[in-house]
Amino acid sequence: MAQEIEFAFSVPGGLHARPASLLRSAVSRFGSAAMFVNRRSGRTANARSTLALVSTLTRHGDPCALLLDGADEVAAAEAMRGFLRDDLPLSGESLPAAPRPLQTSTALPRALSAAAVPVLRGTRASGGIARGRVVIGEGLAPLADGHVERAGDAAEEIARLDRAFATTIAALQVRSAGAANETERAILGAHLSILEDPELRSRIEDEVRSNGVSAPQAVRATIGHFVGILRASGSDSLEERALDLRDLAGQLVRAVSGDSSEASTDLTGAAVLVAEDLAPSGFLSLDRQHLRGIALGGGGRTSHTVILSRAAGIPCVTGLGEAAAAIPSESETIVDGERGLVVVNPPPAVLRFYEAEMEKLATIRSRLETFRTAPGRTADGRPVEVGANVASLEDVRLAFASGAEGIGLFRTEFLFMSRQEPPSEDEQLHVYSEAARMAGGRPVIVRTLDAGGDKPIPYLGIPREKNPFLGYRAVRMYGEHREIVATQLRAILRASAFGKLKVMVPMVATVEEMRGVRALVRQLSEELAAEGVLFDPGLEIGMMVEIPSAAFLLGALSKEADFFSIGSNDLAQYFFAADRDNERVSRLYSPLHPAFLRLLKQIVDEAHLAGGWIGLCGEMGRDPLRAPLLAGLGLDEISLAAPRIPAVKSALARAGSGECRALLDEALAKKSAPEVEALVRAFSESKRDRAIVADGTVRLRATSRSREEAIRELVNLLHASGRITDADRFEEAVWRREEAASTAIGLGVAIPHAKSAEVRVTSIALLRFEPPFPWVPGDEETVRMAILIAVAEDAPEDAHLRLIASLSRRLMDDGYRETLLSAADEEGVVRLIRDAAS
Amino acid sequence: MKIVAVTACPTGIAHTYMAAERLEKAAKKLGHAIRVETQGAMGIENALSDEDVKNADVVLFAAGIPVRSRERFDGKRVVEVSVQEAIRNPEAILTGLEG
Repeated sequence: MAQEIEFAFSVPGGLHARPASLLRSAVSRFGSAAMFVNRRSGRTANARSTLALVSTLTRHGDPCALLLDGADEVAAAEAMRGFLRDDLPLSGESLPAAPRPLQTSTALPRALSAAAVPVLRGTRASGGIARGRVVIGEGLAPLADGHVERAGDAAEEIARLDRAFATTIAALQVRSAGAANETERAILGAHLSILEDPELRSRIEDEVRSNGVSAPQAVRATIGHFVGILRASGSDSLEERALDLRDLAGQLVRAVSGDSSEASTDLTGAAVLVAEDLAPSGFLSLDRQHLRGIALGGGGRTSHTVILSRAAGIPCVTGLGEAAAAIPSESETIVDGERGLVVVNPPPAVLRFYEAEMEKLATIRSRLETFRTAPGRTADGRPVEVGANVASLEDVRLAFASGAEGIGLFRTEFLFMSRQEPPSEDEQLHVYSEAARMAGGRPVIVRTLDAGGDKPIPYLGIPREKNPFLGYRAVRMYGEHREIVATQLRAILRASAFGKLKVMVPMVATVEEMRGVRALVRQLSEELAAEGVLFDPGLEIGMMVEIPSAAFLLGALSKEADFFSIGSNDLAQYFFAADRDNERVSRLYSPLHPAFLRLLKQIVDEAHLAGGWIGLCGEMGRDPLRAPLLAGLGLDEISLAAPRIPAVKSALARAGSGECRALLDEALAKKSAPEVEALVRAFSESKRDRAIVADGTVRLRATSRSREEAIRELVNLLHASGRITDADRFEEAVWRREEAASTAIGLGVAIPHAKSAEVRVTSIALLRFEPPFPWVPGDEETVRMAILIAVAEDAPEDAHLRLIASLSRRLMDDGYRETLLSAADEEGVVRLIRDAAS
Repeated sequence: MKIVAVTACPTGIAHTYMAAERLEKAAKKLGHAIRVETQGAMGIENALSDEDVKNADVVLFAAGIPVRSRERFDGKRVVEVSVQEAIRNPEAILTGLEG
């Protein structure tokens, strides 16, 4: 009886090469035949073929089904359900997201609209601003070049194909091994998965056999066929995937023709690459030492080339059309990836504008970067470790790249699944020691085998059970499978010599279970010591808290467990007696429910009372909105999927630990999950930085010498400190007001101001000018100071408006103006403005 | 001279209050009694009472937008200036009212 999983396709960009290759490799762990069905497009595919999957033209939200048929279909269905729910939706998240499309109506900033040179408009594909000299790159080779190349001997052509595939795959593997980041590795992996697709190979060979064409011709025709399907999809993001296929066609054709040289463009000095189009492999072959920016005639916002440029932080503008071809080689050029603009031979005013922009972007970047690398802590400095949940070494790498302070949960089931016998000690040792090495001293919590009737492993011979979640699983079967567990523990012990590993036991309900594991570890340690094998004698052994009864036994359990980690997914299911995958009852599964929060509080308090360390590694930790609530519980650690780590740290850093506790108390008094949800939302809203003025928004030695420059400088101060979302649009709003009437009011001060949707926090920025200059050319009087007032549109912040009104009145006072003009430092100005109300 | 004034500007953020302050200061210096109602971002503040209006010798609007509840001043002598003018030359404006 086949298994069928119905689901809505959850990856925003649709089923393109990357998610397709992930889906393929997830399904390939099982022996069952797997068929992917898209109910909207009506297309079906063998789920083991990346190309066939891509050809289903599956878009975000499409109703789909996965049919599994074979001996291990039950296990496969269970694993794939988890994969489709937890892993697939995240497959896009680790890659840098596309910038928001700009509205085409957006006017240019003054400095650009006033420039005497044309500004080329394209699509912003990768942010940032680059300046360099133009190097013209080659476009892509056409797929069909008109003439038909007949081949004499099909067998010989197929032999040529074999060699070409082998060399291309080998080259990709080499490149993947030396990849600069996860994004490169993921994209190269997707390319490999296409080349290894049996359907691609057999179609190309068919082409040679039935049509008698040459190997290169067969490659071009076959890939042309798939490109045609993608082009007809009507989806931009899928159409842009055709670039990957064309890229591979180019590499295969070169390999078939015995051309070993890479199609690469030489760069020297700070270079801006200008081309009609650029393949991902073309991007990877460019010398990153010199590459500053990319400007393309074609291309979109989601192609793998632009994703690669985003990951590498290379500004990129696409869709310039024919204008790209007209850009002269060697010309000094600005690539503005923030606005999707290219300026060739910029005049000095434009260069000054962009220099200020680059400086501002660097300030913004370093602010965010500090955040990613900073440890997790509340606003008042109480540490809350932020760790990552992982299932593979790839995940470990990504976790530390995302700022994880440790691995809070290393699931080891994947090592044991889809095979006929358990992994050997050495095989496991390799994985655990590699993880320890990558962690470089940071803790790695390895959870021992968590198998059961729901994720059956053939060699464990677990009987089918009526209710596997309440059945024979995890630590409950360690007695019977002592050998397998001992092998895993020995591997972990040996790996503990390479870093700070910890062991965590799943599904513990009784003190005896923990004692059993401890005794086994003790025995293994003695054996290893006798063998003279190195290990960490202080290896900590902790347990998952995921069975409600354990919550009321933590005092006793803490004698046997060195630490605890709450598995909130299972704990909530058992607590609410509701399966979160069962649509009819999943609404009852709500980790934010006050009843569940009470249970969590009981657990954390009990653990701390016993002097223990306690973390949480369930999905509950993934939402930054919930982070203050979890900090309020007093958890020592939160472990979650890597991509959300910076957001969770940032949410923690905005809330004081006292406030978090008060928030929790308030939540505990609520009656339902939606009420708690609303509460945490309101809390997060209230945590945005509300100070009206700060050191960063005041500059006593302004560089501006004109109204245009001064307004931009003021706007940049607010933008760099995160107070406005869009500098250009806010600048426009300021100018609309300025054009109605000059805001230089005759007292040596200009007070430009605007209320607009771009303002996050009502703010004040201030510049002092030395020497003073006329605000409007021709004005008799000069201004010595400009004060920009930015008012938020959505939230009426009465206190701030009151302060602004008082400040406006105080500015009419000669004495007050003088104190502002003579304040010795930024801090003094900030104080004077804040005190204007009193 | 008893003056009542209303200040208002398009955004109501800054100039409304600057003009009010300037007019109050100038009146004090010139020895006039003045009450200034601001119609700004925080709504109507220091609202003029019917009594204020009744007793006033003259009404001054320093506004870049139409003044709200204008009918309150029907039958009174109303002088209108721009809000910028009120900030720049408050004394000249007040002196001009005496004519």
